[in-house]
Amino acid sequence: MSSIAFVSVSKRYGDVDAVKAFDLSCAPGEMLALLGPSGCGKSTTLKMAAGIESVSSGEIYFGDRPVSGLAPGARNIAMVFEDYALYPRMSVWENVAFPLKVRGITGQPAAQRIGEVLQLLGLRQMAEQDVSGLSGGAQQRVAIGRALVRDPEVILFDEPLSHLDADQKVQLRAEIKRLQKLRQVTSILVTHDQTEAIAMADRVAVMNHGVLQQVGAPQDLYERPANLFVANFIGEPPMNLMKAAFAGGGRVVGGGWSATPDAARLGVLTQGEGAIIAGIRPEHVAVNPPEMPGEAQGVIVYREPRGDADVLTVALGTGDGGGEKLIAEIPGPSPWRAGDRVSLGLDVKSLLIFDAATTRNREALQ
Amino acid sequence: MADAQSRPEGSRGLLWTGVTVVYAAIMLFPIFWMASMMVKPNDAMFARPTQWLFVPTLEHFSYVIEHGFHWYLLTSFLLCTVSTALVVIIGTPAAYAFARFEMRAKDDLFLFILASRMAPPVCLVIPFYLIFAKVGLLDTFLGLTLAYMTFNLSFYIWVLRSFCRDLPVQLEEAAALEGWSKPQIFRRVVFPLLRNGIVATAVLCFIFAWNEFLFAFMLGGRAVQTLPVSIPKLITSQGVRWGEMAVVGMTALLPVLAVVFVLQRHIVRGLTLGAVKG
Repeated sequence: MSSIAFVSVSKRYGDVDAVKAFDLSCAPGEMLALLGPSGCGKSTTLKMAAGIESVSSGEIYFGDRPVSGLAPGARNIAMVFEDYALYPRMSVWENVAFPLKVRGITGQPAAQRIGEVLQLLGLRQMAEQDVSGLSGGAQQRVAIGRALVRDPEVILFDEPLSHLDADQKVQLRAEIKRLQKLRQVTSILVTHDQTEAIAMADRVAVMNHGVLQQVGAPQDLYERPANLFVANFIGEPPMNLMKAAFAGGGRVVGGGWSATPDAARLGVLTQGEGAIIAGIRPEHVAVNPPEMPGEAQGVIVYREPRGDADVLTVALGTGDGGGEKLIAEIPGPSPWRAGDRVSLGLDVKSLLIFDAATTRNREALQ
Repeated sequence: MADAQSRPEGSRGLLWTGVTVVYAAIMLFPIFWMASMMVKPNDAMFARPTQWLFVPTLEHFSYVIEHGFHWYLLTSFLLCTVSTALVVIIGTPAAYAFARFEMRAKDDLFLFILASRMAPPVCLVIPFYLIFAKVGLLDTFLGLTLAYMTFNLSFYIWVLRSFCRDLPVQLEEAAALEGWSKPQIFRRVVFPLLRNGIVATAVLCFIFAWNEFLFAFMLGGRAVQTLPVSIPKLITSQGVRWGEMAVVGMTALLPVLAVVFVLQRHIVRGLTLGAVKG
């Protein structure tokens, strides 16, 4: 197993910077997710690691071996593609056998390894079937088998689940994670789906416009997003982000609400000039009857029942549409309906303060 | 599905069968007429009323052989085979390159390739004649091969590029990760998947070349005469030799039919473009 390190890697297509000065490392046996909206450069980054795309500047290391000058075949990596990329008109067995055949491994040793991999993936019974007849989930399992069969140093997953049905997605998600931990293969997963990234990866790297925004354990990204992009991108429903300002006594005041963070945090929060944006996750907003004290008063304008939770959109103030709108996620089913007046309790421990100009979280490290 | 359609039930089915038979009869009648002319004695050829029954004769065949028309058949066959083979050899990598690689002014180049088909052939034949006369390609097999290649190559590249674009690029990337070089990937991954497309497009090129008259007539001269060019020879000072014309015409028809028949499976698969997708 080897580690992967990107050292100020950039990719330019003509005048377009697809990836800018990308620095990231992935420990041996780790599964790292590259997460971002489409066009953010995550797939390009993966393809540079694979050698399918060249590196415009910077260097990629597998262990301490620089690889950017090596052909894809010389890097000892395997890749799992979005649309499986199985060889048509070959059986499951032949597809999995292919990487071994190319390397001249045949006969008993090959058969044993292929058998093991098929067993691991539950593909034993369909070994002789043509791959084009299989379901999407089964095809992707064959592709994973093809990747595992030759014990690569690194496996790159390029949106492996996006073409699958919801139930197969959940099943394969767990399976990929299990196999990755079992084989301890260093892996990079590219995805635009935060659920996927959070469920499968040890660490998540969020990218936007070719720039790495933040790397960390899923919980870190969730609790301490480094900037507004990450705050907004991670979490569903997304974080409430509202214009605010500091008033006297460490109070944060916004359109129709005010809250006072812990005195201990104030030192850091009030550092810096200019406008601020306050962020709070919907599940950190408590909804109470209007006579209770709270950080804000408002009127429910919309209720989205989700079974185990209710997502309420609350217009702050008198509900004449003048104030901010805030989203609250509370355990459901709740008694609240659209039109109800409510008092909102903001969990001040979870209130985040961002610089409006730089979009940076004031409590972010560095 | 196909079975149910070919055997519809009851009188409606009978009606459709009848319509189909009539339609086929109308379509096939000229070919039947040509076939009958091949063995019709000259005095029965245009007899009024039409003589449906006659003693068949082989005199038209012997005239055609005596006057060396089999050599024209051979010329046609060689010319079409060689030019189509060259088109496939040159055009396949070109189409692939246009589909896959980044190059400067790719779209302009691609449009330029089509330029040889933008004007009616009759406009191009004069410059071709003048150029060929200057460089000594007039009346040569090579010259005619080159002329056929120019217009078939553009067609071939245009059609095959779309086949290439339909191939999932990830297959090639996956093969690259296994350590194969570009030529190996082309030969062992791309080519097998393209085969139906290549066959279908090449057959069309062959048929274009086979039926071509104008360039063969103008550029082939006396030295290189193809089957279509040989037909006017049968309009003689003693009259038009209709029976011989039917023999030559039928001979020109058969290879095309045979090619299409034998390669039908590839052609249909190729033309529906769906052969690659799993």
